[in-house]
Amino acid sequence: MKSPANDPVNDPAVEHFPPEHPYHALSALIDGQGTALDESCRLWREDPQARQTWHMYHLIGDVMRSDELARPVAADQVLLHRVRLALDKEAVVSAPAALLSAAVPSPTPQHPSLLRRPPRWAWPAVAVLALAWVAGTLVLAPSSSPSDSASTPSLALNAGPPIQSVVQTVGVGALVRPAGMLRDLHLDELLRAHQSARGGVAVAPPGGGLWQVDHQAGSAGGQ
Amino acid sequence: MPEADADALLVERAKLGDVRAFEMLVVKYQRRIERLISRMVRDSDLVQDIAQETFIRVYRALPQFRGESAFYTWLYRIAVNTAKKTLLDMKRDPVVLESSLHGNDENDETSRRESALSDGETPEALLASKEIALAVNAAIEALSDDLRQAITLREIEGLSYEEISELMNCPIGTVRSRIFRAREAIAARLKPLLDTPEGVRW
Repeated sequence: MKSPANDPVNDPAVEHFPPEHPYHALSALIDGQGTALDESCRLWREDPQARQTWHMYHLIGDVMRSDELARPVAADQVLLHRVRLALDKEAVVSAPAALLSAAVPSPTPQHPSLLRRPPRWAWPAVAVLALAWVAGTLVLAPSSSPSDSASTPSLALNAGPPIQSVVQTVGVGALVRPAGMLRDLHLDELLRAHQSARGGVAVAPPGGGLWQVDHQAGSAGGQ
Repeated sequence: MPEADADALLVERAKLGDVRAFEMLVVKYQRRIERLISRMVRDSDLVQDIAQETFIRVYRALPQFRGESAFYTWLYRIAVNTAKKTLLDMKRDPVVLESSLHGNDENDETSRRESALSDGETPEALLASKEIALAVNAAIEALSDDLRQAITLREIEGLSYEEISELMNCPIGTVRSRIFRAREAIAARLKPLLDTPEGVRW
């Protein structure tokens, strides 16, 4: 029989055995320690032994909770292998969050200049600009149709069929929000007011850009 | 609950495009998902097909997952719906495996028909499963009191490191270390039973 002195696992004096063990991170992540996430993911990607250990730690937990969950490793490996093959055919589920957050600025004043209300003296200029822009987009912008909206590039690439029957459909709008468009909240407000004043005529989405207005003005001047 | 936090971390990682993080979730939940499905479907091949389909559906739907419920709750719901849909499709299909249509009470997770093997579940597999359970239990018995208490509080009671630290009156770092050492000790006993099949790798 082993004495504690010869058994580092059970030796109470060895509280940090072994302190530098790389799989410490796997154990910590299983227990929800966020600081272990990066290291664990790296281990999973690069180290087959770490993958086996991750499986074994979870198997241990499962068996501790229920003997029914004990099963030969082959069954687990086969399922993972099949899922892995299927995942290889899937598109990446989502655009990186860093890209998303950079493209769609937060309404909190990270960029105060974008959200600041214009000074009172600038209101007429803003109104004229908005009207000119709306006129330009109404004349030049192609009317939006269902096919247009369907072809709107989505940040969430999803190669598979929709599965509305099994998942909650929340937040889809956020996923198709066009990237790279800086919105002026005040301008949006003016557009809405203008739209209601026109009796609810649909206004094309403000994706056309101001250059279209200039182009139209130039053409009109030439006629 | 800390376990849910670990899921949330991996889900967020997968949502950023890290497919490997999703694989880690598959390994974590595959046994529980297959057990759940096996309550509804007896054909073991079909159970695995449905489990695979479940994980793929979950992966595709990750962008819609907001974390308003626990990940495993969401995963279980998708598994149950996938199994139901498969059974429904099979009923419509004239080529139906009769054995696959027995027992479809998805809510009764605890009432397994212990008397019968699932189709495709061999006596050898059953024996191997029992050996694994015995090895885990024997390894836990062999642990020192500190290690056994730490791993039990964590895995069975679901306590956080902080809570275990208070209960055992020791620093959180010690709790973390004890749980790791307990897992390593149990894993050392399990390894001889977990031979990797030829051609399949982790």
